[in-house]
Amino acid sequence: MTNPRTLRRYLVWVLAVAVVVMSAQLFAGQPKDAKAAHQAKTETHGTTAQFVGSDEQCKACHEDQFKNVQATPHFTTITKTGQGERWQGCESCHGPGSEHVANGGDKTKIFTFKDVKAEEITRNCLTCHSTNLEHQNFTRSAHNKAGVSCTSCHAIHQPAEAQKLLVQKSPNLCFSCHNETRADFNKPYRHRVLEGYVTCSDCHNVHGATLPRQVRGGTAQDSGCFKCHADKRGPFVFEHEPVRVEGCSTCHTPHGSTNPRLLTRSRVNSMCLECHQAIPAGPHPQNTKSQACTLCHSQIHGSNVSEVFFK
Amino acid sequence: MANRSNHSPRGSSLDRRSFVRKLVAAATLVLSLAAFSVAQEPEKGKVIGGYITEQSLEVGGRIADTFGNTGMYNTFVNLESGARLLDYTLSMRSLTRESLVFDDLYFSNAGYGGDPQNFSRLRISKNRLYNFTASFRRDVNYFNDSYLANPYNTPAAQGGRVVFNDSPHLYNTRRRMGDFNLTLAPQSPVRVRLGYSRNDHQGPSFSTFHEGTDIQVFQDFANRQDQYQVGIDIRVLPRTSFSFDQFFVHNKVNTNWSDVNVGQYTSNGLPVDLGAIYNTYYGQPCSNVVGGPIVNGTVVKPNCQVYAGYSRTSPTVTDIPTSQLSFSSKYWQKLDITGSATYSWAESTSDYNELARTYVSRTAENGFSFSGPITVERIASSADLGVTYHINDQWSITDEVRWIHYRIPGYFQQSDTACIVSNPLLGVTSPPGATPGAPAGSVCLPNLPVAAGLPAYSASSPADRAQENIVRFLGDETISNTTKLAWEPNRHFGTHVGYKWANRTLNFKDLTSGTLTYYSTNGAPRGACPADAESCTATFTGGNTNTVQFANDARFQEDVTEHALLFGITARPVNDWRINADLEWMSATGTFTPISPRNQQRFKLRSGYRVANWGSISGSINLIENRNNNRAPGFREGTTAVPHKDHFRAYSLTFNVTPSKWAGLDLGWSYSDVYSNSSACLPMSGNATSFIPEGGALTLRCVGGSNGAIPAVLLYQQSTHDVFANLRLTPIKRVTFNVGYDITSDSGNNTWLRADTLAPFRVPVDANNNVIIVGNNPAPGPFVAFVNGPNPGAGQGPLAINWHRPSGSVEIELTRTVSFKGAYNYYGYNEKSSNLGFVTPRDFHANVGTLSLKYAF
Repeated sequence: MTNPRTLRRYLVWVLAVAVVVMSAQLFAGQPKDAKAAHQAKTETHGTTAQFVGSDEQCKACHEDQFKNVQATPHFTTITKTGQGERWQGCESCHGPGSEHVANGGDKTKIFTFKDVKAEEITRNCLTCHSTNLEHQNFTRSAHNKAGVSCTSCHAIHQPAEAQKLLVQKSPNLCFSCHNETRADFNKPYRHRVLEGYVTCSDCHNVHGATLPRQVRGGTAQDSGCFKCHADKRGPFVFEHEPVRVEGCSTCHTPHGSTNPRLLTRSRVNSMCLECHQAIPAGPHPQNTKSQACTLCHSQIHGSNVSEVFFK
Repeated sequence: MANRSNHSPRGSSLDRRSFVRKLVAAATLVLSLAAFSVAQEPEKGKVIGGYITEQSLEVGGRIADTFGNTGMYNTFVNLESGARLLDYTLSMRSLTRESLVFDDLYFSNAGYGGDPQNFSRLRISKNRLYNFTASFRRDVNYFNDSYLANPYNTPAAQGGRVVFNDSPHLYNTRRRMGDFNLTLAPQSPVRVRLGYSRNDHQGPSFSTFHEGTDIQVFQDFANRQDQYQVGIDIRVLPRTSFSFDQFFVHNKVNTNWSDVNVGQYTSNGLPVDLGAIYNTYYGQPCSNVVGGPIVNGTVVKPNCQVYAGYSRTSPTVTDIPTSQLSFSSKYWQKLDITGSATYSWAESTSDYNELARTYVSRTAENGFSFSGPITVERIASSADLGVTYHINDQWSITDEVRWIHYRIPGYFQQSDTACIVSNPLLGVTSPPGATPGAPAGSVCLPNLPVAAGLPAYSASSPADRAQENIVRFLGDETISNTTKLAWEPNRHFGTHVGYKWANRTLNFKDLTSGTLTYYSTNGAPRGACPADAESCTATFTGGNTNTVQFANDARFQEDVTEHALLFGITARPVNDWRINADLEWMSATGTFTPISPRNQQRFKLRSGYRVANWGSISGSINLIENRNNNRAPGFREGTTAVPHKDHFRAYSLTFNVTPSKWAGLDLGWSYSDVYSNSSACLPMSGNATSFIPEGGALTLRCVGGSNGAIPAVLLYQQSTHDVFANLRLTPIKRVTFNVGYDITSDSGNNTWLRADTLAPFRVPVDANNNVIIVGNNPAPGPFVAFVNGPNPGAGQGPLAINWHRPSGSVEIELTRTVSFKGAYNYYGYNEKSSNLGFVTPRDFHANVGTLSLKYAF
């Protein structure tokens, strides 16, 4: 951003955002003690109930669920005793249960994860899980924006897939919404997802990432594709710039394709000539030998010695 | 040259009849066992040493029978006959959660014994002490699609010599990947993470190299990447975490290349390679190569471009340390903040060595060496901040700022030596003496017979010696800001509206300088300054040496700003019906590539409805429309350039019916449509300006590009249907049947159009499919027909295929611990029309049976 005019525009934009945020706060019309009220509500799920503090009472009626949780990684909430009732056992997720108990198990007196907004479910789970690097971007993820909450994919009490407590096995879980992607993995050229060799979460952080389509980036701030396709990583003296600037999907469709090498076009020349629309005539007669660009430009992802990617 | 004939069916000893007989016999045996076995409830784990332990072991074998193109079968499927460990899973869970070593263990394995993919995954955890995950994956990366990078040599019947039936870029490599991650004290305020990953990719493959003729080279692929990670998470404030990660990537490339296809001979007995392209009409590799079929042992004619030896090594080591600081906080109840800052510095060093013993007719080179040290860096920084402010229970606003900057300076200290044949007589001996004044160590090819009368130097001969300091630079800086205002009044409805702004600046630099030394034989200076040199001096020292010193300083910068409007809704009219829709409407001030969009609209719609407990339906629409009206203005004389436009549209629908636990049916359909319309100048041999395609001479000319080129428009359209159906039946408690069918059907159009009338660009050809162009030498034969151009041999690619995959399986619980499983898979690949140019359709079909016993204990 070397253009000072562009920089000015950007600063004006940031300022405008700040004004909108502050105005929204001003007109939100909350009482002075909104912060305290909001905090209290969040921590007690909007009830005035108290923490019972013991899972034994829960277990008396919900023995099956209790046993199920014991068999999952959430057993740690049961054994965790050092941080207070708020963080312990069933009430760490379902909130204080005194009124639920006092009213003979009235479901309306406890947080059940049903009939609530996705955002409430998410906020509840992220109370513990947001500090995990994998989950920390969930609130700004595409899944969150689409109303996909934690319980859309995870079943805490009775998971169909014990690993990760999933409601069904991956990748079918992902395909239940992304059905067109399943078709891509049926194509002859494909990443081996249906075979179980590659998983969706190898390439995507389903809990949110900073890149579009929640794609995982490489550890060296380059494409996540280079983790497996390491020979394309470079850096190269002669970069094929679109690889760096636009990314692998400029030429490849990553999920699957009927075209060789998952290319976006069925014929290599057609794909290349869409960008290289005015190539020199001499060495490139299209009616003779230059039928496949990569026959000569074989190191097309980048080269240290050849400006035209011959070697 | 690699084996170019690979069409014989595999498994010939096992014909179809015996395959079916074996399957029927095995099925009968197992069903009999099932009939006499006693129905018992399966046992869910045993307590062993304080752990609830579940194990299952599935062993068996595959019987594969393939007909047709085995190269394509191995590329797509690659399942072969043999014994397999199909699955082994171990799950252990501590009863008391007070075990000393671990609380939970999960270990799974699949595919060992010969499948193209095999993998193991391990998870172990001990409450509060550690979490450990590990995975090992190995895959056979086999690629033999004969269409890709195939030179489309004309068949012998059409004047050609040899047609490749295998891909010149065949791969048969192995990739072994391991990932190991350990988190110590996962629940404590201070958490330590350690990680290690390895990717070892090795094996035989082929590539091609172009200089003079194009030769197929053996590519001994060797790439290993090790990645280390140390991280720490610190949680000292409520709901707040700070993390620091240090990564280190070590990448080592030891791939080398060599020409092994020296199956022909010169007249004096020197083994040589004529290369991969055989089109003698156009002098490739030379006119009238041998006057007959090329087979091993053929003696080539003297004016042919050949390689008698080629080798290339470039051991490269790349180290990439990366530091990353990130944080996440919900300290304030109304504010979610996440951010990260990353810095990495990659340094890659290599020592390049290339040696060729060849004859290149254009340059009259008789050999060359090319070498030098290489250093490339990639310095990258990025920062990211996301803030979500919950205004109240219904409203929230999110702002995301992202900044990325990287620069790639590269240096190559290039040293060339070219050997020009000075004595065009048989039996040239070298070195020295082939090139006057050439230093010792030149690489002139000994004993290469060249035709009498060939010039010692051609107009295109390079410098005899070159020392160049190549300096390249690519820089990229992007900053973006996205703001979204979200409103979720209740659990039935939510919406958001947003605005994205991004600015990106690219910088390119070429700062190459060097010294070129030209020798000559006639006392006159040879060689000149490079056309694009910023500064240059040529010094003819008398005698036969001309020294050219040059320097380039080419710089280029491009700046693009994007604006995008974002809108989305989520709706849940009833509990079991969800709808999501997103729209993004983008406009940019420019683009970096001609096909990047200046205007883009993205629309996504997803919906799912659970009709009842027994059934659900879901569907999606995904539309991407791109326009770039900024392509090469004035590209076509007298008219405006054809703007690039393309779209991707996908629609899908899935039904799931599960009326009871005894039956289930999945049905799915998906359709995708890829379309693009793009203009280009197609270079042609001969005098393209007087070229007359079908419909008469073109009224437009290419300007600013190639004068010998035809203005044309590429129309690309690809439509793909995918349908799948899976039926599961459990007629009796211990027997489950699965029947399924997947089919992918592809069709489309990959056609060049005349730029003036937009009619198909069809070229005149003679009886041997040579394009008739004025000025071609030798003159083409008489006109026979118009065919789709520009290259009659290119075809359209795999745009009309059917990919069938019916399958069936049965699982029978013989006892409470032992199950029999039998599966049958059919793979059928059919290229529906002959649109692959000179590559014949690569159809195949295969039967793969899998029989196994599963023991759960």
